Amino acid sequence: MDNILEVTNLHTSFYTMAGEVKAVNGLDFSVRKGSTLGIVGESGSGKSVTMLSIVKLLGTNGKIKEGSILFNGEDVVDKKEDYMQTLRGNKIGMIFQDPMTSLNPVLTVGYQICESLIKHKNMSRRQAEKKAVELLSEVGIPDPKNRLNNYPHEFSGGMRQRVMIAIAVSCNPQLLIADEPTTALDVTIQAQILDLMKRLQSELDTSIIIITHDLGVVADIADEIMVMYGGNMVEKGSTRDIFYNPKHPYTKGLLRSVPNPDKLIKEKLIPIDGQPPDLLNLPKGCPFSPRCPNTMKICLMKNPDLMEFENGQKARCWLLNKEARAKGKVI
Amino acid sequence: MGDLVRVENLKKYFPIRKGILGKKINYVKAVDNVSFSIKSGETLGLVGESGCGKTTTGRTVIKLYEPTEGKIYYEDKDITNLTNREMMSIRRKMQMIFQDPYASLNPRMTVSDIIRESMVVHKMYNENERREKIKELLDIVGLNSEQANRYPHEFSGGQRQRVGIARALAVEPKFIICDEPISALDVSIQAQIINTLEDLQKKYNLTYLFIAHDLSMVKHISNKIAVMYLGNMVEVAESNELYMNPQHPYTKALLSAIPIPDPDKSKKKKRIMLEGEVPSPIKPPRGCKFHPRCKYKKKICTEEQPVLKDLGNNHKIACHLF
Repeated sequence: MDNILEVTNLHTSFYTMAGEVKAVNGLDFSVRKGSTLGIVGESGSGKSVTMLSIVKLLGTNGKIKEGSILFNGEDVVDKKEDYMQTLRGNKIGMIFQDPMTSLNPVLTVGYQICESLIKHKNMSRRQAEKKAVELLSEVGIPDPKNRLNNYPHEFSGGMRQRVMIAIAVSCNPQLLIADEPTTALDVTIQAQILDLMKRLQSELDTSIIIITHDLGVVADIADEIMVMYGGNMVEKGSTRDIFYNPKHPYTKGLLRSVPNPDKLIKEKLIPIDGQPPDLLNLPKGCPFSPRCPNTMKICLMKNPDLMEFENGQKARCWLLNKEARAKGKVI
Repeated sequence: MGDLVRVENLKKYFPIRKGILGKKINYVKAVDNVSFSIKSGETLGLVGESGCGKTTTGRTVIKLYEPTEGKIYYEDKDITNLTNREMMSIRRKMQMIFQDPYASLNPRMTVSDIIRESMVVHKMYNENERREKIKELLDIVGLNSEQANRYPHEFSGGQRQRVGIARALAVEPKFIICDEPISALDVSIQAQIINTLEDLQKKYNLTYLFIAHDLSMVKHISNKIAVMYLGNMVEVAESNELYMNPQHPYTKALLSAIPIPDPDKSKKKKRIMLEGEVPSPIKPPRGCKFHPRCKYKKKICTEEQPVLKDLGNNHKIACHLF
């Protein structure tokens, strides 16, 4: 088996006062062992909910309605909380976006690192502390022994994110899920953190899912990229294919809307017009159709199926369907 | 002289007080000796890591903070020591667009009230004209004028930022300080806002001070870029010159850390990793503030603070290596 994670037909919804918010609608994807998958998309495209569905941290009003999530071949959708707790922080490590709020402010950093080691690896406190010192020095925190007794507020943002990474990798997870791990950080610190993640991956052979909206970050770290829009995948392929041969108009639009600092002559940016879709009432057909430059009649009526290409690239767009394209008129 | 705004040796120290008597025990030197000028109709980009003093610089220029030392000129008029009342007429010409479109609009006011307020404060137009003006402004920034009676929460992030721009434009300013106007927005929306800002600049001959940490966007929109580190300006140059030919070790590291959205180039790119993190501005290192992280430091760097030197070609740098 070479897939660490296989997600099939995932539907996740949140039930709110305003109605059902369909955050993820029929998502299929897989992550190969030892590889890095980058998930890009705008806020509300379902990136984070996908990750939270995998570890089943959806809260009381969120629910996986349909589908299966195979982690190491075993479906976690119907598993109880007890079982999930043996996975989280142990086989699946998590790094969250905001290092300021995801550490507990009233516990020392050392306590928080040792917690998962004691729980999952049956270590004694002394063993755990020894391992914690190793972990902190591994992620590049100077003077790790004394830093164990510090509280999160005594660390800077980049340092806190390193602590988060130390906790996430403490039990040698098979899968590391990083949700916007560098968004709150400065570029110089971002470069350090990405470097650290790459190094840890090659040492521990961990698979990584990295969620980000920064195309530069995925270009740097990902082997494969999945582009999400309106709660579903619109395109997936190898990093090079996505950047040099994008198929979906949304992917193309995203790539065009970022400036290229290497260009000397200033070119006007080409933005994607319109606003991201409202998940409370998604448009009937393709969710991107209201913003797409080449909308056809069929786009408004039916959401297209995923098309697979010879190189393994996948995209969900009617324009790629020859029949639809021949019949359809751009409106 | 075509400078609309000129700042000379600007300093802003925030006192740290302790005890019941509020004794000043130390200062946070947020901005320490910064000088720059912006020509009318141009954009100066201000970049640097968080805590380097870019936002404080912006806010001090518009005198939301009283400067500790230094001079601020607007159209060659010294505005450093003006009282709040005297600043009123100048503030009409200097407006600000804020980073967080969620926090910078009053949730209890409708969009038209938000835009109207600044016109009321500056006693511009009568009520009928204001109504017309609001419609016109919403149109200019690309919002539907029928949405004028809605509340901010009914808008998306990008639309809210457009409301913020309309509010700034309402009093017909010449100079706008954009403090991270796009960092809270989605990538596809960032380009929309940047294009809007550029169109408005052309149309009304606006001058921008563009503060951001997204270096590729700053490069795109600015004529000139200033790099700040720990309250000091370390390098200033035309934007292409700065990108193609950075001189200061900090600028070089900063530029090399920008992730490029191009996997092949990204693999080839040589990253200069900076060791450690930005020191605290309460106790900045002696001499050049960058020296603890600098590979090329010499003895003089730990003793004496370098001043901005002109390398020719309008390229200025504060470093002992030059």
